Amino acid sequence: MNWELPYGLYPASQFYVLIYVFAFLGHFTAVSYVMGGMFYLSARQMFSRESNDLNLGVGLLVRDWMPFALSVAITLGVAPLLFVQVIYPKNFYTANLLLGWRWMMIIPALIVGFYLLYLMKTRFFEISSRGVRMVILASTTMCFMFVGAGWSSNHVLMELDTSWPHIYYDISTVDTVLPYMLVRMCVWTGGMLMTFPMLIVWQSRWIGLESGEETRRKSGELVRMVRSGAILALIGLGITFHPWMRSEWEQLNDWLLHRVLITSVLSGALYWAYWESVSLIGSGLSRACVMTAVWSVGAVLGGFAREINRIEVIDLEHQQEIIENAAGAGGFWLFVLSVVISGFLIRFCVRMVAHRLKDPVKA
Amino acid sequence: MDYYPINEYGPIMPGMMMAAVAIVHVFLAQFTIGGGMLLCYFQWQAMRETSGSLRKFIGGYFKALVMVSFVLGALTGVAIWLTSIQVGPQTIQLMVQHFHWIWGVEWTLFCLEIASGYCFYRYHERLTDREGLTLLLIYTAASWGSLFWVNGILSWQLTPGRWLASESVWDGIFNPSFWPSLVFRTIVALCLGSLAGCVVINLMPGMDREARADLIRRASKLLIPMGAMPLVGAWYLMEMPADSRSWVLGGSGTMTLFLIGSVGASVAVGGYALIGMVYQRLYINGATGTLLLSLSFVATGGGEFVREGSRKPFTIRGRMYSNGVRMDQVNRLRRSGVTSYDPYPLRRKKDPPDFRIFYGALTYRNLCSSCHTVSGINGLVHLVSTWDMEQMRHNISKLQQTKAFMPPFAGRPEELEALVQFLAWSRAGRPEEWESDTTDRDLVKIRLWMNEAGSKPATIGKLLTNSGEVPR
Repeated sequence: MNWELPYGLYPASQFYVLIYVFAFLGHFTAVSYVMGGMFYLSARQMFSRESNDLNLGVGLLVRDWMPFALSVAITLGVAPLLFVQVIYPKNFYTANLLLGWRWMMIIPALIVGFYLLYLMKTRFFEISSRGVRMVILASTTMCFMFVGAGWSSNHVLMELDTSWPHIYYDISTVDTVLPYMLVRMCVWTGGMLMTFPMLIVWQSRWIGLESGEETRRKSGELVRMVRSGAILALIGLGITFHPWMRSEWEQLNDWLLHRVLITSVLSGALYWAYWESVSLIGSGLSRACVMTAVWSVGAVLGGFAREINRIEVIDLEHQQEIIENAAGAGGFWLFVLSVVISGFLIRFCVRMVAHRLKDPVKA
Repeated sequence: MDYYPINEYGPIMPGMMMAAVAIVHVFLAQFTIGGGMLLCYFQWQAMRETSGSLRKFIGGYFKALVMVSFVLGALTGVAIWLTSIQVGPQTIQLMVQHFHWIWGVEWTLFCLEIASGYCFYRYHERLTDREGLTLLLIYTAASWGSLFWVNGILSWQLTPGRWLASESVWDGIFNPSFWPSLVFRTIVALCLGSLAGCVVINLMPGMDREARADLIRRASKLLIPMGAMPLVGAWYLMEMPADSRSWVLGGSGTMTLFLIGSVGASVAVGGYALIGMVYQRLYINGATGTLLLSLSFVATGGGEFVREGSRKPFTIRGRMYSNGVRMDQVNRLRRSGVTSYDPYPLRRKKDPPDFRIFYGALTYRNLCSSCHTVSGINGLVHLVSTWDMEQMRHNISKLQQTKAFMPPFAGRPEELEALVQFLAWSRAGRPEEWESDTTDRDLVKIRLWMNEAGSKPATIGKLLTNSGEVPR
């Protein structure tokens, strides 16, 4: 039986690509909380007339949970970082090496950003002047945008294998990735802005914030975030479909990529329309579930579109032997067992805390 | 052979970057594990008696643990991965290919560590003692579990054991040095957790000296296992391959010095801890605690350097050399050449004056630059400064015999000659004009010497029979 699929994908590759896409989506969701949260706080700080606006409702909630969200984002980022090395080792390592210290700078940027998030939780931040708070917010956002730009550049470089020797010889030519990187950044930032409000809806449900009047009043801001994100993502995708871009980025003409991408965009549009038409903060569980289901369809298809785009360019058939060898390495069932046990224990910890919060210890 | 674009960092050798990141990460990771163990012990103590200072310490210490380990520990962990790609992509590729599911297991444990850690961090004051202890136990088990698995991968690099023949992931993980390395690292983790605890105790506001002394006395109990360190260290040395052991025990001056530094710092910390803190129950202030913690950092740094260095000439013993060339590729590269299929040009601003210099620079980049610089730290120009041309040809042809911790030369005789010319040209200050004095006779001699030395490492006989290891 011939198991071969388009793009030279054999069963082993299919399996790893599948795991990679879902691992990446987990990471993307957590990153969306951090990036979306930073844009939300910055916008609120910039446009609000109230001096203590970030100390209330969603602002306070986001500031409080941001370091945890970044921890989750980094931890969930380890899995895609691992599987990308199994599927595309040569391309990933080469892109890392070509970017060199520019790539390595994402670590100090993350460390600075991380500690700034902790600073945002302190009393110092709360009592600081508007200007100081704006500087802290802008610096933190810049740190994370730099990390995003690093990943996007890395991704684009992975696909430019014929240019590697030239870029290695003259590193200034790495700037050729800039337009592609900016387009990607537009799409991903848009996606994150759209995802953040969904996470806030669920978080509000979890901690019981939805009943707060302040939160309800501010829910309009979340709708505006979804709207901005959708417009930004559409601008990015619009540029992608420009004839010049399509002639330069030939894989964009692929029929499957087109269909997956268009379905993803339609799901995104439906998600946006849902936010515009229905009040989601403080709404019932069914509305939140519908919203999340629509988001999931768009995100999963978007994730696959991203991978199809990459697989179109990278010759996975050539790397088949490496991937087959990796698939033959033992330890998979131990991994599955570990996922089950860790998942159970995480659930146990969360439920234990939730139970105690509902039923406090009597002094 | 897979070719990658190789970066050079001026006078700094790439291995130093790796060492810097790795030592910081190992120190922080072990502190995280030991810190968790200390907190479990203190929480258990707090459940048995009504000591306010114990509870106060638990909250304060966990905050420090989160601020340091959840941020710096986690990110230096990612950094180690990215740095190892910069230094040796072939090595990390082979490791990921064989052990990605084990790293996957470690990842699930990270997730558990983060979840249980944050639950405790945010809510421990609202939980019952038993619930707090449960969270701490899960947190500590998860962090120690990640050490358990990653220790398997790290120790496999030095003693792959039966894995060389079977390539079974279990043979790789449970390799000959797995258990001594795990026990040793666990003791180090306990020591770091305890010493960091002493520093935090001294930094906590609103606590009188008596309360601090009480907490320090309790924390110092975790230092008791340090008494077993000499035995565990000896066990680890026994499991090391004979040649690696001989280098760290006097065969290589640098490694022996680092070992002495590491052992000396450990003896100082252990002596003070066991005699002063445990036996005499001395009080230590913040400065002494910080000094002991710094000495532990020195000991960790020295130990990690020795562990990394003792693998030479391999990154994965019996499989891959430090320069990313696999053992089974040497003969092929001696026929086809190491530069023949390298798609990457030289980055030099000026063209080399001679074609041999050009190929020499390419040969240097592919075979030497992972551990050496041209004229910076561990610079080849310094290492060959007293050798004449004939000596260079001879010594590099028989590189593994010249220095037992060097790999065999993996290229054609013409490339070796080009490397010799490149080194001589660099030694002469890189003049504008350069004429190679190579004759056909030189190339014939090089080939003869290379054949005499063979394509195996000098220690092959000892190395691959030491633990019943068989080369593929």
